[in-house]
Amino acid sequence: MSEMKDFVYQTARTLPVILLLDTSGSMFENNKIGAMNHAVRDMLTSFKHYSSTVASISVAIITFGGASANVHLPMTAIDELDLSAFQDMEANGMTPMGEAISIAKSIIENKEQIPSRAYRPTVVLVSDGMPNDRWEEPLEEFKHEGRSAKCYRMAMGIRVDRGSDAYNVLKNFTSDEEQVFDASDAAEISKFFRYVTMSTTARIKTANPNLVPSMEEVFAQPQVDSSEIDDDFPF
Amino acid sequence: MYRHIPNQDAFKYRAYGYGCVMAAADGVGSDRYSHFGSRAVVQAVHEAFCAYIRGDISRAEITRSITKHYILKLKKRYRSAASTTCIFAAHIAGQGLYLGQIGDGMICGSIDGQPFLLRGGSDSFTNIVVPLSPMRPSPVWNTKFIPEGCLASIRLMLATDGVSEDVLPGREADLTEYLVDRVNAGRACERQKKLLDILENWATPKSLDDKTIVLYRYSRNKPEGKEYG
Repeated sequence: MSEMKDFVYQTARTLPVILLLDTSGSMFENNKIGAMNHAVRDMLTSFKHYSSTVASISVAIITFGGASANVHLPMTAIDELDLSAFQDMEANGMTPMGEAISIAKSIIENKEQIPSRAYRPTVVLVSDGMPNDRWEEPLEEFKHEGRSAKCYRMAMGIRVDRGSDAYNVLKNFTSDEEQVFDASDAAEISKFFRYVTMSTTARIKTANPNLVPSMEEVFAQPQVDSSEIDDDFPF
Repeated sequence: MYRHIPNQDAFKYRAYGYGCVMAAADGVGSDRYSHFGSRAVVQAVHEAFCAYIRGDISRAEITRSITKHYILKLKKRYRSAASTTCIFAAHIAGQGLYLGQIGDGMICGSIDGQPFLLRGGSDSFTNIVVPLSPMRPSPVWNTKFIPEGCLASIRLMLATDGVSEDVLPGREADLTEYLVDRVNAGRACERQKKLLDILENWATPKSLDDKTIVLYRYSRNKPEGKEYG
């Protein structure tokens, strides 16, 4: 005999978060890589501990350093992630950012990894310098073609001067200067990832998880003001 | 961060002398007054079909009339933030079945025993759609007309995206069949309660989006004519 579960999905809709993280040799200076590892672990731990009634979070991490970009963590539902097995990222080599963007695009366009019923993904780019591979064309494709064009993008520059070429790459990625964040030390790296964490968890609490709150909204106290509700039926 | 948001879905079903009209709508979550928008558009669907039956408008003008009535029903101060999706069906005696959709959600089931699906929404991610809005000129409706000669039997479900996004691909007609049979087994006074029970105990985990289903069943050979759930 049929039951409802024979006709509907038995898994929750997901809210995907994709991190593109610079692990080039310069990230070794001032232990930026250590601060980033710590902040990412905190973020994953927060995601895991957070109990959502609206959506599940899934995370993928793509690193770009050495000679190529790599999938450090394939798209994984946060409930299934074993944090004890999560490996820290290491810094060395060049900055193949373009390749990382292409890998992210292939993940996003793959409906087996991110199905159509998933919410709009958040893609986060973190870098401390200029890419040194072909990045312009992959970035243009990412921003303007296919499903990746509909993703929400944010970026953090670590010790990247505003107005510099490296900063302009990040601004180009987000298409919105307000979504480019500056970090000069471990505390600010941590704050940025807390913003990613809190904006993600805030999204899955709302009636429309495709809406991304600003940093001000995320760090403000939550308010419920029923006096704002206007139930005056307008007919 | 939590905001109290009223239920943004709306629906209206009514049988008229000329047939029956049903509509469901889902207000866009980001719009402050979208719950007004969804209520306005379901009412507008009914008014448009009544205008069509009176001869005030042609068949080609039905969706334009829906849009016009929807906008007129909203006070000016709500119009900038009252976007909504809409799905409708109108079974007009002697003519046929009019179906229409804007935004996401779906109309599915079987017609003369053949599976049927009219579905909108984005192929990219859930909830990313082009809704109906007074701020967006020239809305594009997805419509279909099935003449009466092809309508020996109808089993139809109109479902907003809180339902349609969770249905397994290819199982839409089967789900309609299951719900129509389940809801109609038993007394007429219990039908809505049964459907409400299914929606409130939805089988997909963590699926708390607003949900609305309208079921319609018709058989030409039934001596009592039309039945609906």
